[in-house]
Order: sequence, then C-alpha cells, then structure tokens
Amino acid sequence: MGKVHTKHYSANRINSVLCILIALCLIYMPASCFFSELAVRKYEAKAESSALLEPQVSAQAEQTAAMIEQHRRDLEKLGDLDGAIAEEKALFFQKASELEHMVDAGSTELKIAYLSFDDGPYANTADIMNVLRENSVQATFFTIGRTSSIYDEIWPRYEAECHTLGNHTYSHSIKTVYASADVFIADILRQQEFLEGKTGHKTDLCRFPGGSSQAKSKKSACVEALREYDYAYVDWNNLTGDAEGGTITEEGCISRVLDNTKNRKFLVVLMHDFSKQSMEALPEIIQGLRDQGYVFLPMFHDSMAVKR
Amino acid sequence: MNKKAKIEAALLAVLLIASTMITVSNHRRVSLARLAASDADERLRAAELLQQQYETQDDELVRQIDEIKAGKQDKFDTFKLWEKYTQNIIQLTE
Repeated sequence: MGKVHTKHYSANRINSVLCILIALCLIYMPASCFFSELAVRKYEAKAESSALLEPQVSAQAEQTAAMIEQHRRDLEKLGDLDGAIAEEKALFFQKASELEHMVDAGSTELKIAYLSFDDGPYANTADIMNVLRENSVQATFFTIGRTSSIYDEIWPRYEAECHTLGNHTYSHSIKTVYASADVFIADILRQQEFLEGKTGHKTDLCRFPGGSSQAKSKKSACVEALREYDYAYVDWNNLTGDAEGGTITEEGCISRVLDNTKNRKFLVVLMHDFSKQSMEALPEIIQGLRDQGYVFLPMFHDSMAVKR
Repeated sequence: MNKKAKIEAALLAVLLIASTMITVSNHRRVSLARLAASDADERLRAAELLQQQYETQDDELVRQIDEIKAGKQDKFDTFKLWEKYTQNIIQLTE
C-alpha cells in the first residue's frame, strides 16, 4: 500500500515539474519575442536616426569641400589681385558679348538694358551706386570734369563696384565743344587725362554731350576723330526725361522708362547723376525692367549697343 | 511514467524545440538590427569625421586668406564682385 502511495506521489511530482516547465516555456516564448522586438525596434530607431543624419552631414561635408576649393582659388588669386580682376573682367565681357549675340539672334527670350548716368559725379552718385549694388546691377557712368574734392570718395567706386566709366568730355559745353572735330577731341582727351588722374584707368567709351545729333554737320568728323583714338560712342533709346526741365516726378521717371521700352532687344536708358527723381525711381525702374525680361549689362567697347 | 506525464513530456519537448527556434530566430533578428545600426552609426561617424577634417582645412585656408587680405580688402571685394557678376552672366548664356 505504502509502495503504491509512494509511486503515486512520485508520478504527481513528475507531473507537477512537467507542468511548471510547460508553463515556463509558455511564458518564455512570448516574453522572448516581446523583448527581442523591443531590442530590434531600438536598433532600428538608432539606425534610422543615423541614416537620416548621415546625408545631412555628408552634404555639409560636400559644401565645406566646395568652400575649400573656392578658398584655394581665392588664395591663389590673392597673390596677383590686379591680374585676377583683369582676368575675371575679360571673361565677363566675353560672356556679355556672347549674351548680346544670343539676344540679337533671338536664341533667348532675354533682352538687355544698359543703365547709363550722365554728367557725374554728383551729390546723388553715391546713392545711385548704393541702389545699383543692392540690386546687383552694373551700369555705365559718363563723367565730366568735376574737380571738387567732395567727389574724391566717388571716383574709386566706379571701378570697385564693377561699373563702366565713360567719357562725356571735360567741359560738357554743348555750345563750344562742337566748334570742330579738333575742339571736340581735345575736350575728350582732356577728360581722358582727368579720368586717368582720378581713377588710374583709361576708358574707350564716350557719349557726346547732348547726344551725337548735337554735333550736327560735325558729327562724322567727330566720330572719325574718336575712331583714331579707338573710342566707341553711345547714344540712347530710352530715358527718364530728367534733364528736360519742367516738373519731373519720380513716378514720371518710372513710367517714362517702363512704358517706352517697346520690347527693344537692346535698351539704353539715359539718366543723370544730378536727378534726385531718377535716383529715387531707380529701384522701381530696375524691377520693372526685370519684369519685362531685361537683364542689365554695363556698356563696353565691343558691345552691340555702341557705335564705332 | 503515467500516460499524462508522457503527454506532458511530449508537449514539453515540442515547446522546448519551439522555444529554441524562437530564441535562435530572435537572436538573429536582434543581431541583424544591431549590425545595421552599427553600420549606419559608423557611416555617420565617418561623415562627421570628414566634415571635421574639411572644417579644419577650411579654417586654415580662411586664416591664410585673412592674413594676406589685410590691406587688400577693397581690391579683393572688387574681385569677388566681378566673380559674382561673371557667374551670373555665365548662367544666362548657358
């Protein structure tokens, strides 16, 4: 009886142990899956965050690499800044010429506007240049022999801010300058000398005081004289009207320019340094011309907009 | 061993096999995820290291430029302005 009892007791123990083991297995399996899933998610999140950051850091590294290249070039150029500027200018005007030919051939929708300012420097010139710089626009300044030292700060800015400096005669005396081609060219050469003294640079571009039509019967002789000195000249086909007398307003300047572009491929806009109205109208003129599809160029000797 | 114990033992055996398979499978998944995370982290560290090296290199160049530029700032600004206008016009002609 006792033996039977012991056997029965032992079977029960085995059953109990087996039940416990089965229960442990049943607990272990989902728990193992659960904790594994947690670990997998943790690693996946980590991988995702690294993968997300890595392209950003790589892009930053690429940018820095590009900056390094740029700074290496800058360092090289610093050794000969005059040469570097001359090189860059030459490339600029080569591309400007290419652009003019593209516009002329109609292979682009773009049109070109040349902003020009006559009779400076003047009190407004610095403000004009500030507006141009703020709008990343290069222009052409046809200067006359202004000797006052109040313009000393202006003269270097023409070159420093990448504008074209033109010759508008020293005297700008319409009454006397067209007496003969000799008188005209002498005035041009006097201004040339004056400009070289003020800026250290030559110019090969001029504008007749009052425009070339003012030379009347002397025009061809004057042009011939200019050619001898390798000068090109330029008139205009658009203006703010700031030198026409009467009451000109800022709005008048804007509409005079923008309403009269006539969709010209090459637009040469005449303004004057002395005109506060033109200066104040300038930002809207620039924006308005841009809206009409114009890009801005400074004039240059071989430009399609000038005459030789 | 009684009949019940035999059944339980068989069930336990099945469960043990299943547990082992689950353990192996889970271990594999976790290992793969850890490996992927470690790879991604390594790539990130490499990119960060490269960026750091570039920055150091660039800082040195900027320092050299600043040193030489002293006294030539205006002319250098003019050069940079010409460079900017040239880039603009190159874009227009492309």
